[in-house]
Amino acid sequence: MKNNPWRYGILLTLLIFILWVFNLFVGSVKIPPLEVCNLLLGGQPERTSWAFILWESRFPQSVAALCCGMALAASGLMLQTAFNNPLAGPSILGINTGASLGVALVMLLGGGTLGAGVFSLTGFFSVVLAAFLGAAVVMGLILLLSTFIKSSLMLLIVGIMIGYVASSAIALLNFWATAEGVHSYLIWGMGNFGGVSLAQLPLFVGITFLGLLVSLLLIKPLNALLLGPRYAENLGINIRKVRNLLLLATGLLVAITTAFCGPIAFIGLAVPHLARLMLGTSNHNSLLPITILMGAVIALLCNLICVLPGEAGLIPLNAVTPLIGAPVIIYVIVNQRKIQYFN
Amino acid sequence: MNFISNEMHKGKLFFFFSLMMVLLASCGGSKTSSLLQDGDTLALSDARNLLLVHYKGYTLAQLRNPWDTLKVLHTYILVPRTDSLPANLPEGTVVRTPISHAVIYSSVHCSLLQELGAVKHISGICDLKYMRLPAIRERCSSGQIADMGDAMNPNIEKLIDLHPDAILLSPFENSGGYGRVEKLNIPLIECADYMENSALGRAEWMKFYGLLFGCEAQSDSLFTKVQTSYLALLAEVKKEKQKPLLLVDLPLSSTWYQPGGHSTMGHLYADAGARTLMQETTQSGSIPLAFETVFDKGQNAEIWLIRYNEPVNKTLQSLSRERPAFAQFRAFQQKKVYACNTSTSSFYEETPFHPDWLLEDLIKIIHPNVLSSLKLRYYSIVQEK
Repeated sequence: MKNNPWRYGILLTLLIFILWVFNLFVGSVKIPPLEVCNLLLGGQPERTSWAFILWESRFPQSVAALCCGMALAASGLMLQTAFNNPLAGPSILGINTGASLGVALVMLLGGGTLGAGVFSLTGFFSVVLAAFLGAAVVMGLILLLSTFIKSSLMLLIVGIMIGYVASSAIALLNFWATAEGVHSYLIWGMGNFGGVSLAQLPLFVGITFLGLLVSLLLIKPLNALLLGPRYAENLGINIRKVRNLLLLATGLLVAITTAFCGPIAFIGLAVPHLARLMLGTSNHNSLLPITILMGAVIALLCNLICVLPGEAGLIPLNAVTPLIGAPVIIYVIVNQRKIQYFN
Repeated sequence: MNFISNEMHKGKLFFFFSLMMVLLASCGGSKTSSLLQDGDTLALSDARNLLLVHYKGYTLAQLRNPWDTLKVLHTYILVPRTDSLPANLPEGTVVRTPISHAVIYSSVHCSLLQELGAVKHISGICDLKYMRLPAIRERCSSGQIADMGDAMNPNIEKLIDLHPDAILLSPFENSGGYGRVEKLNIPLIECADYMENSALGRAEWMKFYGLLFGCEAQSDSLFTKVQTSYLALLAEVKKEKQKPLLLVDLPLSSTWYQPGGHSTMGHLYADAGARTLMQETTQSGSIPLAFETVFDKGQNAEIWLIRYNEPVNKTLQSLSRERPAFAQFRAFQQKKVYACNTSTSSFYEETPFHPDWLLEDLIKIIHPNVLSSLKLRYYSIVQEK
């Protein structure tokens, strides 16, 4: 085999490690590298704020970026296979938009508060919960509809329609909202990996890995789906069950990432293509793990680019991800005939 | 000092330019020949983008384009309603004064008119839901003031039906005009006051609004009052050697905006005798920063000022629940967090034309020993629970 997936796997793992270390060393605040080493080895910092920045900000942010990248890339690949559509991605089924709608309801209508009687949440938690609920509702709706709708293409269209309905609700909420509300919603919509605090990190990593585990267990039916639903059924695959499991896994992954980090564009759509171009195969045995690793690499890279202006400011995440994502998509479209996995 | 002389220089230059423009315009024909004769320029102390000149029979108000300061945003010719229209009027939008039926888009200007005693001249507003002024709301419910709907997209049919003397709206950069409202043949007063760089400069625009609504004397004396009290506060705080470091606002997801060194708020905080995190910069707007940058620079800030618009007041407990890292700030630990909930306070309505009130609040927070009374108007200390 020319393109040895193991070699790529090791290479990407190495790259992840290097980029992750870079993410710890480079940030908006200049901390001398020696100080970072000292801190990582458990030493006493020269300035107490540095220890806090490293452990409470950079460390959770880099791990969140890593997990988000893996989660979004994996869900992107699963959706592309499940719907047999190279341009499917986490945002296409409306799951993302559902999460956005949840957040819009809290930020624009509820004045940042999610409350019912004595139970009331404010600020960041309400946003996370609302995003999760929004994504879960849309996912549930799609799962429900998938029991009536057999064709994957039709289901995809229904998903897109649900997304549009949610978008129109968001547009209305924006129209009625205060300037402050619109601004904070806009900023949330630009995505960021810094939304996960150290205390929330175990939960975040746990759910992400659960979703990834489910996706890895689905490799075999995913490969069967590549042959088309008829062949897959012939191979003894329960199409509906697999599709529902796929939706559940992707829904979980997208919901958790969008809840904490906002709707992150393009990673889910572009990374599977990058991995396919690299491997030259659509066999999920190697494609899924490589996609997951690649997602982590791209997310860490994007996170690094965001802090490039240093103390002068920030670049929003969703301004960075399309810079990497869009050229890949264009390349795929232009070379559709030449690329082996389309044929 | 250098900065001030530079500003004065700019002011002179601007005056020279407007003079040149008037001269050039007068070359066009005989109709503007009276322009330079007996023109009496109203001396404005702080406003940079406004020129008011009294002529026989009319007043010329020229608004400089704040985004391209060599251009004119709008020229208004204010002619008293009782007089007949003078023959040789210069180019510009003719407004018959005093305006008696106006549609006003923003609550800021409604609030000013209320203070000038001209609330009866408001016949329509936009965005009723943001209007917190009781007098306006009352007149709305009794039908004396009509709601025109959203300021960005007002109900055109209602506007035509109301047929006001003028519409006061806020101009935005490159917004592509005001749509159909422009074609109604109703004078549009572009309230570019918010683009002034200094708080007093913005407040001085009340003289223009006073001219429009025939309450010149009230607006002049109100501005003098505001200016005197602002400058008196400034002089008080000048004596203070200590300049505490100020942390401002709350982060929006990953981004934390801090006022730039040359922003209006930045100037105001400096006038109140405080330092801000980004005061060395030359930006005139807010600067988006990463959390870690603000943490690094502002961890030891003595005071933290927050503004938010939420139905429930924030507490130290809710802040630290929102983001545990907040508890690491010195201002938080020493319970020196002050907040203004704009959903219950008149911060946005009043402070544009009353920067002295805001400055007083800020000084009371930043230098509590300077002013005897400690009762705050907009801000209040954030309670523990």
